[in-house]
Amino acid sequence: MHHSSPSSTAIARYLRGLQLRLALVYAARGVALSCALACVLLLGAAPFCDAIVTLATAHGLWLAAGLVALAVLGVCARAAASHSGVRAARLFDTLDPQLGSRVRSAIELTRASEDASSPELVQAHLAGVQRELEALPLQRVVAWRRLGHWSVWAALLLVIASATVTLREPRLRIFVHGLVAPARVRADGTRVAKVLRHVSVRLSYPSYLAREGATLRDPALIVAPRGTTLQLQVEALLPAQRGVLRIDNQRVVLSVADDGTLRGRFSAQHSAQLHVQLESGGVRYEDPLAMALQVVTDKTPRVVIDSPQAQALVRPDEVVPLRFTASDDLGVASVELHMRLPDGSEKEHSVWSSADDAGPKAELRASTDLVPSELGLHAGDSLVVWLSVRDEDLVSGPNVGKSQELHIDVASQQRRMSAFIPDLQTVADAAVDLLGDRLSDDAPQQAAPALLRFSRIEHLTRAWLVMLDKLTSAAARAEPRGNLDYDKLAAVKRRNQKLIDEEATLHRSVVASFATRARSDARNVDELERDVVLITDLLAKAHVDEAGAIAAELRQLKKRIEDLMAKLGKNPSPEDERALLAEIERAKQRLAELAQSLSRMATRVPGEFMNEEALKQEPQAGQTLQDLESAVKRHDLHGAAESLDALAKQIDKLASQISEGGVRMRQSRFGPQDQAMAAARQKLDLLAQEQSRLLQHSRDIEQSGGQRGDPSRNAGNKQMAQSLSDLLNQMQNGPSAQSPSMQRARDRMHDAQDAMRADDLAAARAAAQSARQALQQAAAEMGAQAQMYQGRNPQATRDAEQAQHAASDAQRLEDALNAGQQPGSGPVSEGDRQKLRADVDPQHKTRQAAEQLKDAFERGPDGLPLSPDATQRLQDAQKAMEHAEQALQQGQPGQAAQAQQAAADGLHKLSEKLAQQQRGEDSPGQGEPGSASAGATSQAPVHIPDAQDFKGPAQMRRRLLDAMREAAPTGFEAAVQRYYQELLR
Amino acid sequence: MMQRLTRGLLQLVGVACALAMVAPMRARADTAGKEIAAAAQLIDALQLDAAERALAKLDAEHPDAPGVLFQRSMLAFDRGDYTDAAELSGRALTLTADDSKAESWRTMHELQRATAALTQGYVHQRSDDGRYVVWFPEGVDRVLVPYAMQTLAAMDHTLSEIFAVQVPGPIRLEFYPSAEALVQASTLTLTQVETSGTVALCKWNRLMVTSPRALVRGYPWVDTIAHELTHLYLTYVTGDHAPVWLQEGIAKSLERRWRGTAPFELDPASRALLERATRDNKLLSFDKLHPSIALLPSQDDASLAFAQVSTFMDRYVSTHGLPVLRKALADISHGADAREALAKAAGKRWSELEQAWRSSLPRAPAEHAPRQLARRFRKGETQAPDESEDVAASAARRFLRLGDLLWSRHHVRGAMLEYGKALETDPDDPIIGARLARTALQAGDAARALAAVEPLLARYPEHEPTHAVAGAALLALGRDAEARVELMEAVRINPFDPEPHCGLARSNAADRSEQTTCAQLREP
Repeated sequence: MHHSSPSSTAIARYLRGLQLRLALVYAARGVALSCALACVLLLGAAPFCDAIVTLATAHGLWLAAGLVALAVLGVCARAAASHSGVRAARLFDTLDPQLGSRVRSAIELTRASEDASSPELVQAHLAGVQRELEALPLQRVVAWRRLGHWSVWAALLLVIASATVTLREPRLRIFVHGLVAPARVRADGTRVAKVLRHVSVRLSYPSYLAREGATLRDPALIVAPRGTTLQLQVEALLPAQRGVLRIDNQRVVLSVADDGTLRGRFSAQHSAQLHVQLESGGVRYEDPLAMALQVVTDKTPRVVIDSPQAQALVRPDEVVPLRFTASDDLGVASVELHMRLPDGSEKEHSVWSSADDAGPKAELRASTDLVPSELGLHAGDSLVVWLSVRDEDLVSGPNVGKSQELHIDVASQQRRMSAFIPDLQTVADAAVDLLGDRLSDDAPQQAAPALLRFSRIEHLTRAWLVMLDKLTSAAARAEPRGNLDYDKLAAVKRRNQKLIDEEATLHRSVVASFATRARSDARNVDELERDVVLITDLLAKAHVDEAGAIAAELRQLKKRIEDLMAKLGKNPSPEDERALLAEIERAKQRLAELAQSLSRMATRVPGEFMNEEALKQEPQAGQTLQDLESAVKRHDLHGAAESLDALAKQIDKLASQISEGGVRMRQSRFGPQDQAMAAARQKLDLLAQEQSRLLQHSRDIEQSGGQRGDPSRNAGNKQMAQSLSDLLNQMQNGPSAQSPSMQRARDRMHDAQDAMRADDLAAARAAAQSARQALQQAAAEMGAQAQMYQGRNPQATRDAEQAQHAASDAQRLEDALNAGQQPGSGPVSEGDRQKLRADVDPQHKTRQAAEQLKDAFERGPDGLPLSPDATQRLQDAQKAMEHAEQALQQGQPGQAAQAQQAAADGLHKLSEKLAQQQRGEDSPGQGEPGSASAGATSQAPVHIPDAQDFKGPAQMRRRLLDAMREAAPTGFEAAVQRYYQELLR
Repeated sequence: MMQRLTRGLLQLVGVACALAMVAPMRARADTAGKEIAAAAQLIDALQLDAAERALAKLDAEHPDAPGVLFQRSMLAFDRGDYTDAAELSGRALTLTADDSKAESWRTMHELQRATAALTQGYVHQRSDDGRYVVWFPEGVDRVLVPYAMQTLAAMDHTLSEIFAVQVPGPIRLEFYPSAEALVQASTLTLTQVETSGTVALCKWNRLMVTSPRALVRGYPWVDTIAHELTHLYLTYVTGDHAPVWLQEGIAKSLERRWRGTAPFELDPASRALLERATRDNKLLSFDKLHPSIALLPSQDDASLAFAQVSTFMDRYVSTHGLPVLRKALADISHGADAREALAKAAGKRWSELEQAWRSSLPRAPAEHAPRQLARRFRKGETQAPDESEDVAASAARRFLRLGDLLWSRHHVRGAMLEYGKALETDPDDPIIGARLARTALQAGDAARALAAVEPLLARYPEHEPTHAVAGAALLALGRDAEARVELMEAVRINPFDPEPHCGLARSNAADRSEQTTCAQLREP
């Protein structure tokens, strides 16, 4: 048993502390020494190894260094171990040998058995040692300054020196780096390790992009448009003899520049990973960091036709604006318009080019106009158009985008109206349904079921009215207005709107009696019956007109075929033959359309107006066309001529048969209305003429008063004119006063004076106005001249001021003369008053006639208005006539004339409008206006110019004088002079 | 001199010999011509067997004689061998040197060719006993055959009793699909057909009848078959010597005899025409009816002509009896003038006969005489028949249009109301009445439907829709027997309307043929 006591424990603890400190000291020394020695070893190995060691080499070197370090640490550990146990007391020797001895004793006593010594003595010894040790800090026994052993300093010095050398020596740095991150060796022997210091990439973009180049430094990602040239400059960590840029599977050689960098260039075509390889000291290295190259391809530009949006139906001479939007990520370079013509050929032309418009645009909104007739298209032809857009991608060729195709049908005026037929059919069917719904049950007596019934009917009616409104609006907007009588349809809508609104009040606000409601219902039924008949008649007429229009187009085609055949007969050419075949193809298409139209007519048009012969002619004509085509293709002109002859007869017969049916239909369905309309129009023309006569009379009276004007005012004006004339005469002497403007001003003033002397205020006013304008021009010219001399020519300045002054005077004169010509400015003599009153009765009769005519238009033979528009305009004209009557009674010619003018204008406009409508209806199948076959005899009134329309010699003289003032071209003075003389004769 | 004498004697002998040779030839030619003419007459008289024998003999004696060839072609034509007929007449034309005959032969040759072309695709049905053969274009006209057979048999029996003789068979009946086809197979023009309303002929030993589907409203085609068969009989009995007026008068007065119903009575429209003409002294002369009623300038004239001759002959037969008529016909067959023969057989003068007839003509205007519904041919097969334009009153036409529009969109009540308004405007219009009745039936009001058409049945007996809808209304009311009468009448005017057939099938479940016809006609 050993002696253990707190003292011994304390002593042991103390000693352990000491040993620990010592161990730490020796460990530190060991670490320092091993680091130093490892550094020396490793750095010593550098010259014998590659700059960038491989993993194996690094492992080897580290192993060696580790062994050295272990050896050194072993030595130090041994040294530290030599002070363990009893030997720990040696630590006190240098400080207090006796203490050391006592500690030694204490250790020994602690280990001795209890039997060998007295425990009390031992305890006392131990306690004494303990006391001494407690009074002795560990630091005094084993001081940390032991770390400052020379070996440690030497080691530190070595490490510092190694570090310094390493830092200064790139190769050593690389070597050390390689030790830390040794290179991975690929199968081909390439060592993958960081070998690049910096990489610089200069991007040069394709020229069409017009972008400034850019330089990237150590990029991880390079984004470049395709075709960009990348110039690399690589600074390597090692001196490289050569380099390679690996782009996926491709290689770009990097050459060594004078400054030791590696340089190379390539064009970016596709995205890839870029790796740099270099060769140094016979070893190939590759840096593990790849640069990602993202090649951005130039997108295909887009172009969209904004309008027309869907299939368009246009006239041959109509200007069709084609609006489009083109866009591209890098800029639109050009836009072309492509057209596929009916004969299959294609044309294109440039619409826009960036060269003409300050460069490419990212987005372009523009339009281009198409006129079908200028492309050689005729009514019935179809055209397909589309746009193509290009960018300026010069790398992979310009990218081309294409718009949607737009079909444009070229149609005659009448064919355009057939576009309304489906809607008109819908409206007609809905009208029948509406009538059927009203008749499906009787109006109930009780209010509640009556309201229920009415609600149902009202819903249907209003929906139908919306349909009708859309149709009439579309028809009214169609240019030019054709055969669909939208006036009548609009009137149908208005009447039914009014009736349903009235009926609604009977059911909603205050419930009316059954009798009232039943009467309203019956009125609605009556109206609907009339409207159903009208709308179905219009529909049948539209069908007939459509067939007639197609037949008319066939006639035109026939004519063109005949012309081409004649040309072909005289002088055959492949172009003419192609054109002829194209026309034959058109004719076939028209015949197919006609067949469809006739078959629709068979179900929509009463049989009595259908000409069955036409149904037989159509397939015959089709066969003859086929024969003609075959003959042309065979170059059998004789056979073609025979077929053409037969075809001409068939088409003429077809067209006339369809026309006959149309005429019969019109006469049957619209005959009474047409007759009533013709009679009404005749009365309207007479009415308009009478009103114009009354107007002229009032004007004459007004003018004779206005001509004379107010005497006192006239005197003042004459005075003013004389002063102005004097001033102008004074200005004759200066050089600038001889200008044409000044000459003109003088002449006009003389004219004004002459007119005033003759009491012709109107002529005087016009002359004064011309003089004022000429003076203003002269003043402007002189002012400019004066400014040019800038004070060096006082005369010019004075002339300019005088001219300005004269211009102001001329303005005052003109204003005064204007005031003198106002209605009522001149006195109305008693004689004139009598004349005016004499016109009161004729004016009154004219108004009454207008009233009667309005009634005639308001209610035609079938109870429906002949023309609702006419009713309204006649009403307006009546009001104007009433004002005119009053003014005539009061002896006010000016006011009377004004009101009469309004009335006459309204009547003339109405007459013209009705004539225009009639012209459209008279020629449903007779070609375009202006064509040889266009139009029946016009029933429009012929306008015979009256005195007011004939401005006469005064204007002519003035124009001539103005023209004569202008200088004639050099060498032609005599000829011009002779010309004017002849003219004046 | 002797030489000269000898030469003269020799010349004389030569001339004598030549004359001796030519004379018999001329005699033979004259005899042949007469025999050929006789054969032609036999053909015209429908004595075909006798004609055949005569021509066989002539052919043997004068092979390739143009006249014989031509008559052989006529015989073939009458027997229905159109292709052979055309070939024979073509040969005759090639061989003949007689320009006076060539033109008429050419016309007949063209007609034979046209008939051959027209009937090229025809099919036929033969009665069980083989006496009646009906030829028709394959298709919907097949519907006509059973009714045609019944009528032929019934009328043949009736006529054989009346005339105490039976025409030799087979009796050939041909249906043509359109007026154009009738024109193609005859010497009439389209204008003549449309103007006079001619729908049938009896010529060249056959009954040539236009299918009722060629007309907008159909027509009493069954009675027309009976009428034409009567012509065949009269041709046979009189050897084709009866004048047109006599032919038409007897045929018209007898055409309904096959029904075995009431005695002859003019329809109201024809009666009104006759009355008006009598009153206005505008009766047609009997001579004006030659060579054919089809050549009269209007349908009204044709109707008047039929009315005159039929009332004349009806009065004659009812006054003097059938034996007298038969005697007159026998005299006519021997070449006697028709008027003289009739007068002689009756023991009267012709003027007395005519006077008696004139005295019997209606004088008092019938109250609200019905108007004549013209026979309108359809304009092509594609166009659906529409008789709206025959509505006389314009106001009524307007309501009718509204009714049609509402009907087409299934607004039955609305259509009925509008038709009702139309009928109020013109209560005597069968077109409006029939449409109103149709909508009333659809609306379930059979009584109203019947009320709309009943007053019109007797006034417009040829208006098929009136009979059809009356029959349907009677069926709905459970009056089946009456319904069948009306429905059958409808079929006898327009057998292509499926509804009467379907009605007949419903009224008699055992009648398979009507069921079949109903199903066939209802197919789209």
